[in-house]
Amino acid sequence: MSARTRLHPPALAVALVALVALAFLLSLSIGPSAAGLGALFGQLTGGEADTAILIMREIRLPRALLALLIGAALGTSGAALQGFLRNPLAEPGVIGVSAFAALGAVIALYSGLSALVPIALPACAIGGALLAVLILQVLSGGASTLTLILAGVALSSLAGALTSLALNLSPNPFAVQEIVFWMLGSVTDRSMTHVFLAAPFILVGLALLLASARSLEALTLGEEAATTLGVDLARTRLLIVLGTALSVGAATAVSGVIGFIGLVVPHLLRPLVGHRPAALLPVSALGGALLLLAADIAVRLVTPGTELKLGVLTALVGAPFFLWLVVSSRSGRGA
Amino acid sequence: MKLAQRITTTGARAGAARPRRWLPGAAALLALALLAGDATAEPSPRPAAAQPDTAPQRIVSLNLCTDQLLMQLVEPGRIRAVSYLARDPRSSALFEEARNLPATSGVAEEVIALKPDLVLAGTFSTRATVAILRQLGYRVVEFEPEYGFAGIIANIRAMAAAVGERARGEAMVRRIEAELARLPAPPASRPIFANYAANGYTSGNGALVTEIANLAGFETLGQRLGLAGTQPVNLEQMLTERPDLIDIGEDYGAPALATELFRHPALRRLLREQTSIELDPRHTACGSPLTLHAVRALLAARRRLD
Repeated sequence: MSARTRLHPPALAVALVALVALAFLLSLSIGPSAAGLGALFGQLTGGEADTAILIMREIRLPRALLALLIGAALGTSGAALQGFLRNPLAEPGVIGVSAFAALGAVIALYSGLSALVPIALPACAIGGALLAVLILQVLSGGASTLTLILAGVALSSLAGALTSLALNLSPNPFAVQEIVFWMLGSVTDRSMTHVFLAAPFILVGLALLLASARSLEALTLGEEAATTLGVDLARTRLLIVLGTALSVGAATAVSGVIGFIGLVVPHLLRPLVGHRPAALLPVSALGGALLLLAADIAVRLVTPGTELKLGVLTALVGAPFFLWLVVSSRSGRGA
Repeated sequence: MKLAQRITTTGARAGAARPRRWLPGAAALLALALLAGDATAEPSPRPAAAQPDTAPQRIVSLNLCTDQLLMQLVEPGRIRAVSYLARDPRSSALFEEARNLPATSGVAEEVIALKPDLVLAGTFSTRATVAILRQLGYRVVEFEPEYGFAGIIANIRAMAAAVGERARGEAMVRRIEAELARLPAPPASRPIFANYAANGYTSGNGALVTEIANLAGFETLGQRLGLAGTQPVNLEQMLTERPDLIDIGEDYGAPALATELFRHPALRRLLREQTSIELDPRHTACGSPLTLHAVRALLAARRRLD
């Protein structure tokens, strides 16, 4: 698929669904215990089977499900934020939403609150994400591309510092080392408990974001034109703010900050859907899921035993891409 | 005794340290002496035990493991201070004894203020403190971590010699050797023992816990997987290998992802199906005669498994 080809959106969606399904199965079949997918299903008798099924259901399935859901959340929210803020550099990781979500999660987890009330973990993370989105809204009202990004840098640094502070204050000697998890993200050894905690919020958030697709389409013509076309800007804003906070907040609560997925995926897919936001949002969900599943497969293959954090891989791909976007938007026209 | 040879002793040339020409060093000496509340304007760190074999009377220990061995070898009156960790009930088997002693956080200033005639340290901790104490002419004896009973015995002998309690040290060594000699012969089949500490760390070849488990007739999960030292083991590997006896690490009162791992549903299920044991981590964190408690606990568990 070259960037010039404009696929019929359904065809692209079908191709992406197939790739996501493939990556999902591949993710399920990779792990340190030697059994692959075939072996797992081939050994359904005897004592081994129990272990294989347990590993499948309790370790690899939650891992693959979380990569799928979190990737979709990041991809979609990136596409929605770029459309709504009409800023090619907008992305939950870059503008500080993920960092604030992580701060909320860290406060809930290390204070012991989430041990008493499990729902506090996603709830606080969503609260953090919401706070960041609202601050950004105020700061970037009608301002330039650069203002939003600079505000995002400031918010990210602040949230990162507060996260480090919270972890340093924990009496648990291991908490400090976990700064890495919250800054770079991972879905290793997460359980179905985490899936049940995060999935409902991510799915509701995704639904809200997808519901904003038509308004975003009109918004490409400018706010005035969109209003005359009957777009309710306040409603669109609410959908995107809540959708981003719910999906990114719940995702970050269980995986830490995973950057750049929401930046890279919409940019790669935009030319393929003819730059139409209504089509871009759903395919960005699929593209995000595919990219995160692939990254999570890669961390297990590249350095087995001592797995890299997901954010390392996504930043290795995403940061040069971000630089290229900055340079090309400075020289007038994005690619 | 091989281990003992690696233990380095300095301080014999303590008197010669003074006339050296490093000015910044002299300034540091002065500052330290002042901070330590020393009334004399001239720095004069002249530890009393310049000659070896004079039993030291003002011993300061900087390391949790040397703390505990020291408390077992020497009467409290000769111990000027132990480390703050020695008083921590979570880390120290002798925390009650340690609470009757002064404690330091292992900073040179504190140590100098105590005017020790012997400082005991571990080879992996308080490196900067050890370096400056040596520069100042204090007698510092360092001890390797114990990776097995050979190391424990070597450290007991070395410390007994350093503190002038050779007879007490030899008696301690004889008790350990007698108990080890009474251990049953290694059984034909060795069940797997897995310790699973925060972040999934487990003991492989060369770790103290591994020797303890081997003496009690177990193979450790780390040995089975070919791990050297103490390394993290993946949850999937735990489930695949299904260790017969599992020792899950303890929580720290405050939550962290490292210990939240203990609540993973798959691990909980494995624990319900297999036998669990809770070894006292204070007996395995440091090697000493107290480590025999861990051997006894695992031996009892081994008999129950049969």
